[in-house]
Amino acid sequence: MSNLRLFVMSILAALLIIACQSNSVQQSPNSQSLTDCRTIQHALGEACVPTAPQRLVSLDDTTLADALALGVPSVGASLIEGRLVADYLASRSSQMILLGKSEQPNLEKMLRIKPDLIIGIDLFSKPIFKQLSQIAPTALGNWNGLPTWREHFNFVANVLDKEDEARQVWDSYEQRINKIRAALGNQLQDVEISIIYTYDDTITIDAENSFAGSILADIGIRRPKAQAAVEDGIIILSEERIPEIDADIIFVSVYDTESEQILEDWQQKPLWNQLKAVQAGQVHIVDANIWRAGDPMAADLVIDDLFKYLLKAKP
Amino acid sequence: MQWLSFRLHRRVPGVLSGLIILTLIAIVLSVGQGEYPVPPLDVIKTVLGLETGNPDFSFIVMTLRLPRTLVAWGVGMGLAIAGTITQGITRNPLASPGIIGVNAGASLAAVTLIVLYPELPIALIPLAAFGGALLVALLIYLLAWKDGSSPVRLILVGVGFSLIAGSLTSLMVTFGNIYNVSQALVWLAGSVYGRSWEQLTVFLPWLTGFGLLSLLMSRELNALQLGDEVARSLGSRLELQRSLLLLSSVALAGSAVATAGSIGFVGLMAPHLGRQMVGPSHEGLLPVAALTGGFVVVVADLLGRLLFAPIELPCGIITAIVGAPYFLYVLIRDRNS
Repeated sequence: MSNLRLFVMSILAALLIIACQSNSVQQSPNSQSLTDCRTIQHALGEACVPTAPQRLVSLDDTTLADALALGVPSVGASLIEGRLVADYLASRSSQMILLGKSEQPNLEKMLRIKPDLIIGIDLFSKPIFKQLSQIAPTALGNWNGLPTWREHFNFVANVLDKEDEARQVWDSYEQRINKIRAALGNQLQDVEISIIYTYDDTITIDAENSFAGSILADIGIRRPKAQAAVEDGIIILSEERIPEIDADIIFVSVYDTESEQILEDWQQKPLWNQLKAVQAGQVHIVDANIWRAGDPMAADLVIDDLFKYLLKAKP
Repeated sequence: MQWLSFRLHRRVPGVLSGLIILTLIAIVLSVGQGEYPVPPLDVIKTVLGLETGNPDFSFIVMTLRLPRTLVAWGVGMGLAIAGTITQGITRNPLASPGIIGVNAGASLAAVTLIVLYPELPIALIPLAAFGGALLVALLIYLLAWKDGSSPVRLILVGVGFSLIAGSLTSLMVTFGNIYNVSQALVWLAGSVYGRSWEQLTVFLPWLTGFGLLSLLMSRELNALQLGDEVARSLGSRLELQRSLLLLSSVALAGSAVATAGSIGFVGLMAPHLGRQMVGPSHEGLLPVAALTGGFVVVVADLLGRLLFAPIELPCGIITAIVGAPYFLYVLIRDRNS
């Protein structure tokens, strides 16, 4: 039984090592008391949120971006990938503390940074809503996928009491839409645009009511029949249905090198090379971290891309 | 009749007390350690409801860590007892509820609920998981029936069901809405993240009830393990006992999977470690295996929280990392003996 004794002793040793590296606890100095709060409705009931939140924690990338667009940085955030993947968010969040993945944020680390407000979406955070509420007032938006990105932005604005700022954001979005519509002019009648992204062995489409699709719809750009609005804003086709995605211009959203690889595989297929857009050299690769995001800052960057590829010039 | 007079292995009392002490140490450590460490003395003070001078400690200990650690402990014990029973009635040292498809049935039911009906309250997930486990076990038992149930057929049909349920689960994961699927994947990996007193109180009656029932039936389990012929000649009411034991096993595994998702290999590993320590007689083996399983999951959860913080590794992944090589080791050892 010496094997067994060895096993037990090594576990004991491991436990002791863990026990001994216990570092001392530092108290956060600024645990300010909640003075003023106002009640708001959210997906799981109501919460009394501070009128002027100082230490926001965001529970997903979209909420983080929405708050940033309203001028409110987050002191900490849990993220879908557990880290910041979109450059436009990373560059504006250098001081932010990462709290793990959106499905399982590290609640202890969150407690240590003393948030005074937590915002997220019900999809990820419903199971831990009670625990979150004990850390700070928590408001969860009702998320039904990227088609609801506008509603979520407005929800975040409501919780942060930044409705004026939100109106400005929508005004400037409106202006940019009008600008590109004017610039495109007659082209709008002639051009049909397809948006797809690489994921697994299927053709995945961002439909008319997806994030990027809704921006094209606002501009008035036509989409192929196969990309009409659907629930969730996503359509999945098997590879032999490639012809259905054809259009004058195809935007392919790519996340990383893995998805670039998938695109290269498609490019080897005869069906792919028969596409009108491929033959006309009108397939454009764009960043999925922008085109498949869901916030006004990303929308602005999508419009930049549209100027770049449709008009070959930025105004 | 000598067969029935198994005595407790002389090492049982010593091993049991050793395991209890180890487990208590592991629990106190686990509750103290993490992103926000709490000194051991303050852990004990907080549990006893005494003042510690840091208001956060109560939340950390009583809301976040103690319930999840106790859930981990209970789930580990439940899986271990279920595994011991399954190995006993199938007379196969490589059997566990996971291998005969009970966990897969539970997982399929839970994932179906998460992916297809995300609007339903999450409190229903454990019920669905338990229902799935029970349904699969019933189907296995009926399909394996041919003039009575035979251990070999139970395993073969079980493995088949495990594969079918696994494929259907993959189907759900492949075609489900991406957000619901990410929830399902977290659950599938087997984790005690965010588990609260609520889940513990729901799980506890199952554990104690069926745990005690199993312990009371350990002599029958000993007889069954000798083979159907011998068991019958000893006057065992074979089918009744086997189905009652199978029910306990399903209830324990099903409620454990329902509580913490799919935590693999504990049901396989714990009985083996137990037999190495106190031999095959179930009076001693069941409690020893139970404590071993509980200890393993508590430690796996602690490691999962510490290794890659702030990202948590589900304890199901840790048990798999340790358990998979152990499974191969048992396979090779049994081939040689």
